[in-house]
Amino acid sequence: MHLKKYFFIYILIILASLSVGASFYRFVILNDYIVEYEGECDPRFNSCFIGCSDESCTNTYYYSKIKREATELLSKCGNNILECESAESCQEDSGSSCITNYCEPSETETECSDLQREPTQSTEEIEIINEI
Amino acid sequence: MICHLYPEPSYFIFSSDVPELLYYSHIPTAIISLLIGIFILTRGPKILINQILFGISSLFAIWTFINLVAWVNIESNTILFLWSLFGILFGLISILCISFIYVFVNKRALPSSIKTVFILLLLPIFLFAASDLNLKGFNISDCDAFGFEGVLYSAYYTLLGIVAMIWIFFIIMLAYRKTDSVSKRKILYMGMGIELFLFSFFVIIFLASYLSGLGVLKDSSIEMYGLFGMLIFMGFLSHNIVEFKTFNVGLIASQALVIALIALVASQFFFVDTSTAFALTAITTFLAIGFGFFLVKSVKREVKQREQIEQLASGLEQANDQLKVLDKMKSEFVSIASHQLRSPLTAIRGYSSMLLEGSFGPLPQKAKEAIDHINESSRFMASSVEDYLNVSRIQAGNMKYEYSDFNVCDLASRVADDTRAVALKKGLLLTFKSDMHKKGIVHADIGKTRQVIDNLINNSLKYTPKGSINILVYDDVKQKKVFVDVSDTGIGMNPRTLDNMFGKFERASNANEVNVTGTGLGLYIARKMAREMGGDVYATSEGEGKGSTFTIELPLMM
Repeated sequence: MHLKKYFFIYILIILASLSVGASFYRFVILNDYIVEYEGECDPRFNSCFIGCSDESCTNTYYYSKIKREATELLSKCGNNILECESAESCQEDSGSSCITNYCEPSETETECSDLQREPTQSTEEIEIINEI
Repeated sequence: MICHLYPEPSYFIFSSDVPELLYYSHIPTAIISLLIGIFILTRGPKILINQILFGISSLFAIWTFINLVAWVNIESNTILFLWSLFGILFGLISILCISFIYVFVNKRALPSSIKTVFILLLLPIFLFAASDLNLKGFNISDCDAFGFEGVLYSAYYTLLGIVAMIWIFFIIMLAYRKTDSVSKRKILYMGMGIELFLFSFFVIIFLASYLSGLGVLKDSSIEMYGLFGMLIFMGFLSHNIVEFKTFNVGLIASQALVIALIALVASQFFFVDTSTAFALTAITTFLAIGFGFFLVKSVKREVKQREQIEQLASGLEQANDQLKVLDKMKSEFVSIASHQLRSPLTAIRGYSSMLLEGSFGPLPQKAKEAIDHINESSRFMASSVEDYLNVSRIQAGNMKYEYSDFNVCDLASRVADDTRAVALKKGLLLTFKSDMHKKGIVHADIGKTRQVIDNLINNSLKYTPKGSINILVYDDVKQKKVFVDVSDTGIGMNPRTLDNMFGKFERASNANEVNVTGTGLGLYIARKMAREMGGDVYATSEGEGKGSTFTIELPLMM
């Protein structure tokens, strides 16, 4: 009688608990998600996002947006990416999922840096310079 | 992974780098809703509607708490895990709101078919809560997941909230049409409260999240205003508790509201930035506690008094019901007894009349006097029995009226003629006059009208030791009424007697001085009969010893 009366509630509790458990397992235990953060960017070679260091925006800095697997980043940098060199950009060992996004003036309303590269430089040359 | 650009919170929920409104919108609303939910549940833990309300308030409090933690926390794992639960809580709150209104309006549990629909509606939310459809990633720089929220998933649970609003609207409308005016107001207040709550909670929070994800809004701080919807709902709920005693909470509701008020005032501590503001907030909180204490005390006293009065009223109602039953039993007893008395009385009167008329041969003078006395007494007794029978018929609603059109002036004249002999025997002069503009036709029961006139003339005969009885019939064409005045030069009445004259077994204080045989029912019966026929009987007197006038009023046919 008791089971029949509260059957609906029990079903809800079971479904909700399973759902919460699955979320906990994915996000807390497995760290199975993507992280996005500000990576390094050289305005001489790339179109960079411009960030403000203070509220009045008197000091600015350049950055790119990096997206990568949280597990991969955690294994290299631990919890804090601030002092982690591997986090600054996508490298060969960063895995195929690591993507660096640069500022595209046509796609975003954010202000982008002016590209100051030499007209003769090819894309390949820029990448080599970046690696150096 | 931690958001290195933001400060670490202390005690899990306190941080200096959050909007000032955050604590004010989150902590008091969660406390208020949770307190009211708990208080209502403790009042009736087994009552379904109390359980549902507790469910809504606790889920809302959980949502508010995890939202606050998500706002101030800088740990990506924790934030993402909590963020993924928003959809589940939204879904559960939606279906509980529908259940709440359904049970509140219909006073019964939800049918299994609706419960199955609920589970089917919630299933996608449960299934995809931990998937990329809900959340894909986390932005460490902004310390949020707006850019990684699945639009389809959040749109689904928001849509569920909108479906809940529409569903509730139809439940309210259906019930509103069928119910009485008090319940209408109850349903309306509750419905408005829950609709406003759902609107602000779902629509504002979805818009904040969606527009932040698109980058239209800098952050999602407008979602904090969405939480005030719960306060609106609790406001309407409290109104229903106070005005209609919904949930039977009474005193507890006032205590909960005072605590909530103190929580609201105290929450100002979270964003005071000067010592003066701190001192002022401390004083205000202290005053709120003090006044709240006295308020609760006075409400407690008032509630106790009201409960005592209600208990008394309930006792009186019961006593009244018992009295009505006893009165009915008494009337039945009188009716049965009177019927039993009437048959032998008819025989006594019949045989005594025959003896007096000489049907059984001549009688000696002394025997004639004795039989005359028997005849007179039995006539009075028959009249009394008839009165008792009439009273019991009136009270039981069994008195039958046969309506016809007749001339009331002629009827009164005939009654006057019939009773003139009795008046003369008592040494009284009985006159009849009429002053009619119309014919005096009325639509009533001729037998009952005769009885009413007869009762009033007999009443005057009983209480007029000397002088005269004057009958006057007149009409008022404007009022469309005809009046029969029976005036006498009898013992008269004081104002107090005039007020009580037409009650059952009521007799004037000086009645026994001139007549000891009255039952005190004649005038009661006369008035009841006249009123039943659309008229009335009333009396006037200038005082004791100054005579009385009894007036019969009947609607005149034009």
